[in-house]
Amino acid sequence: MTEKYICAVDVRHVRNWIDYVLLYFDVSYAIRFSNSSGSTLKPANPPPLTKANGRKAAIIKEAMKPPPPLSLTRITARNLYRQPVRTLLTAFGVAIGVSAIVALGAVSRGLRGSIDNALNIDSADLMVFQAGIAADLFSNLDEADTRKKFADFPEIRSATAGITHIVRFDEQYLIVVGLYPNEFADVTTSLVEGRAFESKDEIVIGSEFQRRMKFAVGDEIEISGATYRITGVIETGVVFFDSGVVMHIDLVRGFRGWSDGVTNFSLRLVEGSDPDAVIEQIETTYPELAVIARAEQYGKIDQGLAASDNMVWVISALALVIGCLVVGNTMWMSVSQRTREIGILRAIGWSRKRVMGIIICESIGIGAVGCVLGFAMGFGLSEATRVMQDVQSFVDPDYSILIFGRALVVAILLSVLGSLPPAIKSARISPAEALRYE
Amino acid sequence: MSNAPIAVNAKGLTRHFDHGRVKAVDVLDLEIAAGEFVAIKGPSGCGKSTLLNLLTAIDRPDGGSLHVFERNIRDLDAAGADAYRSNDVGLVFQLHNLLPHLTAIENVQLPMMGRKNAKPNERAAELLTRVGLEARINALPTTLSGGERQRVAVARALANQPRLLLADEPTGALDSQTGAALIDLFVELQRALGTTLVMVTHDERVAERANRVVNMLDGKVVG
Repeated sequence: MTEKYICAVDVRHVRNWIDYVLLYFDVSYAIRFSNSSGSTLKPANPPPLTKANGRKAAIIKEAMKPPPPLSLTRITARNLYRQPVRTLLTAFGVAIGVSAIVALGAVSRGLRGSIDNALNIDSADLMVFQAGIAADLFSNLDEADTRKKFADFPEIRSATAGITHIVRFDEQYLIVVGLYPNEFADVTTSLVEGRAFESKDEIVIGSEFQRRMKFAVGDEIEISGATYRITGVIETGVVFFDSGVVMHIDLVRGFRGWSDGVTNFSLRLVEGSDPDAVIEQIETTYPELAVIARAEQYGKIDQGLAASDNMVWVISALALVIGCLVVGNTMWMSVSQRTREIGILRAIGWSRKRVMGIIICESIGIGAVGCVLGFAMGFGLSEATRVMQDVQSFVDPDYSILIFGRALVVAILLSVLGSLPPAIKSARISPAEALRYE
Repeated sequence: MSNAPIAVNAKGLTRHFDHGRVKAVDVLDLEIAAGEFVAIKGPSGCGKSTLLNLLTAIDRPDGGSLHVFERNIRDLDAAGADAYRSNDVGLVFQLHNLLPHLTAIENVQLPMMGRKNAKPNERAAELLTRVGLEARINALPTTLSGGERQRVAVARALANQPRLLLADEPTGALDSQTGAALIDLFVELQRALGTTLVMVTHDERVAERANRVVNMLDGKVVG
């Protein structure tokens, strides 16, 4: 390809008004030499390349430079860019599904992570709840009776009783954990400021709750009609606790109307004990107790996590099926509108496979754009839970590359699936008929 | 006829539509020598374009035989027909039929996509230079004149160095001056490349420049 001065101006290479001015003379120069009927247009003798017009020469040279070779990717990008609004709207259909996978996945993962962390706060090995309940908050164990049962197991070093309750506070939900002051010492490694509570008019607050409500140690706080003085701040890394408060167990019993019940016990085992073996022994001996060591076992005492996992899959699947149909519908319309174009490609030697390839690639392109949008939307949605008053105490979204990878793979696969009917349709177009098509 | 090898050999070629009521090509016999420039003339509806479709294997005959460079076109399967169109045939339509969102050089590269050992960019630039459009390689079809678009279409048809170049009324949508320039270009390229050129036309000037004129009427060759 020649690099000489000839009229080769493509406006896409002209970036500013200075380029226009520089190019003006070359354009008019080349037009004068253009041959209106000649089949052998020859470049005119170029002016010498001087330093003064070096920039001009560089621009012209760039304009003359052939673009990169045409590839399937390039054609796909051009085709998608032809109808930018349609492409974006279709991609948005995919993005809804992707964002559902990302947002619900991150929330579910965060929930699971919080449970794992909660189980491991201050080296608790096991947690004991009432068996057969639908949610851990419904657990009600007789404290004295259960402690007596623990005495049967020499592997248990200590047991901390706790009650969890939820109250309304400043138009949002607040998790309240009740502990004995002497047992609170077991978990005070999480204390980051002040001291533990010692009496029934003192409480310790979570760091997230403190940040949100701007409380300081020494401040007074009113919960459910009673006033308490804040003595310390804990930071456990578990959203439930860090967004809540810890107070005397008897106060929380009072909130729940219980006399001697507790929600759960945290057990610490003698060093060298096998937690799974202890779980089996306790549950075999006392079937009314449910014991867990890890988040995977949480289903024993709360169906919520499993239900949330299932909900994630159902909503994601539904959203993605809709995305798949949207892509399929768009590509079907696109193929119908491009019948003649497809006929031309077939007439100049494109195989059915290559034509199908274009349609499938375009769908993958839409899926990819949808993924990018969906990632952003999903991230935004899950992050929004951190500021939504009613859920911020319970949700701590946790992202992993796996969630994004899964969303990407599923979206691309479904885009391909959605593109199959239009791709097959495109392959069946008869070039002879397509060329007659207007 | 010369002693040159036979490019196209059609015997009893038949293509009917509408359950035989429309006899577009009706027991047609035609022989075209390699390197020959043949103009096919005839009134509208006489079967010229259908014959061209049969020659490009985008349509299949109902009867008779059709050999192009000794290859039996009638028996080609779908993949064989694709390969035949890609390797052996170049096609220029009455309307340029360029893809509007691709530049001139990209349109010319289209037939070369997926071919091994092809240098599509260099080849397309070379062809566009040959048809006098070296200055417009990055232009979109919408910014080209009618004549320039047809020149790009000619360059595209020549992309894979076809042995048979087919043109369906390529000057039909052009003014007389531009049409004349395009005919000049066809003749120049056909002579320079030794390509067999079959051009369907109503244009008397094409007939004057062709080696031979084939007249069709009611699906048959009449002279």
